[in-house]
Amino acid sequence: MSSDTPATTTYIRNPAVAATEIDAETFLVEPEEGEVFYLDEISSALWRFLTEARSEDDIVETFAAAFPDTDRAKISADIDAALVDMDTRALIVKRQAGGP
Amino acid sequence: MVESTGRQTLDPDAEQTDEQPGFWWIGPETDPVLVENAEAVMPYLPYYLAGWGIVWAGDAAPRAPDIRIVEQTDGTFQVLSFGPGGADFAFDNPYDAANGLAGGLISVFVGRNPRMICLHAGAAQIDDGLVVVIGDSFAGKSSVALHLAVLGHRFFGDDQIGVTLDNPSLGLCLGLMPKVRLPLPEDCGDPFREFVDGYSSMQGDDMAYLKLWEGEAGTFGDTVPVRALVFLDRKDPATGDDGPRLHAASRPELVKTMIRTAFAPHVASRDLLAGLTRLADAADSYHLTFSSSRDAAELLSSEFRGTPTETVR
Repeated sequence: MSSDTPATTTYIRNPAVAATEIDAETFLVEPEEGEVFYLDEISSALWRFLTEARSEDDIVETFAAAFPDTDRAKISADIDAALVDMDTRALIVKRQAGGP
Repeated sequence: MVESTGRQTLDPDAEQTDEQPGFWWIGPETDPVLVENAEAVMPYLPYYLAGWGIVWAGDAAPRAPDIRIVEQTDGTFQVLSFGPGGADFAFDNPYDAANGLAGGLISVFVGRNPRMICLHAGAAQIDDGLVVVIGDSFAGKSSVALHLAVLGHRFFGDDQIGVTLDNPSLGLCLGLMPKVRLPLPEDCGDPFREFVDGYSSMQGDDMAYLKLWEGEAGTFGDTVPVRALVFLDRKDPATGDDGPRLHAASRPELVKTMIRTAFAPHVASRDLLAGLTRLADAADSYHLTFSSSRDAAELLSSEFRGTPTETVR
């Protein structure tokens, strides 16, 4: 995703997705099929972060600052994989900066 | 929901018998399930289901049936259920078709109540609270529930349990007859063997269906407050048996398991998730690691017997 995605692309929660937190763990209900997803640690943190539209670079920067002992390349790869996964499942939506 | 060992692909060319079907009301008097053409299957229904009222509804349909049984000329049966979670199964013989009818009756019944779902679970009443054991396939739900019955606790189900999505939550007995896989495990103990031998109403090569006496088992429609949800985590005894261990379970673990195993086609996912969270709040939650179902049941019995039942938080 990193190589193909313009820097102006941002990600935000799909507002139609219902979220439930149970003891700090996140469950999401996808609106079309009603499928229930359970988020792992990375995706859960990402979900909490995407209350506002964020670019992938912005997300990686924030997570790298929050986890200074973790290799930045690994953070970047994990975030990239989580964004692809959540986008595929329509849990988040992509926006182009300046777009709708 | 009910195992249909005779499931097969339907033959669209198979001819139906041309006997005039009759109609039957089955289930609670206030809101029974209407079944079409159950005559050939009905004699075998008591092997699978108990406590459901059966009333002849006549030769003419009083309304659209909830379940239709089609008897093919080759002796096979098709059981179709309609509404949320409706299904279409084929069976080789009337015994298995009765099993399919039992499953259909439960799915129609549960699907009518927006406050109730069906958990793939076993349960037994200890004192005046229900201990519900949940887990994935082959986790030991049935054997733990039956071992609790052997220990004198009122059996509520070993496969499907109705539960209300409230706090406090009520468990509802669906009247499904217990069954055990054969051969029995070597470590099941003599009391369990005697229990199975004494209560078997029908045995196949790999399954025995049991019929418990009134009072030993709940009957269809009985309700008991859910006191505890127990996630079963069965270990291979070859890896070392330290005996069963019971500790607090995380609510997310329980909710994940219940979402995977719940039958609730009539409840929107969002409401189901909220309801299961309430259910996990309403009952004490445990994780039970064990290798022997007998030992697991003895631990549950000693843990919950004679202790206060006010578990609503």
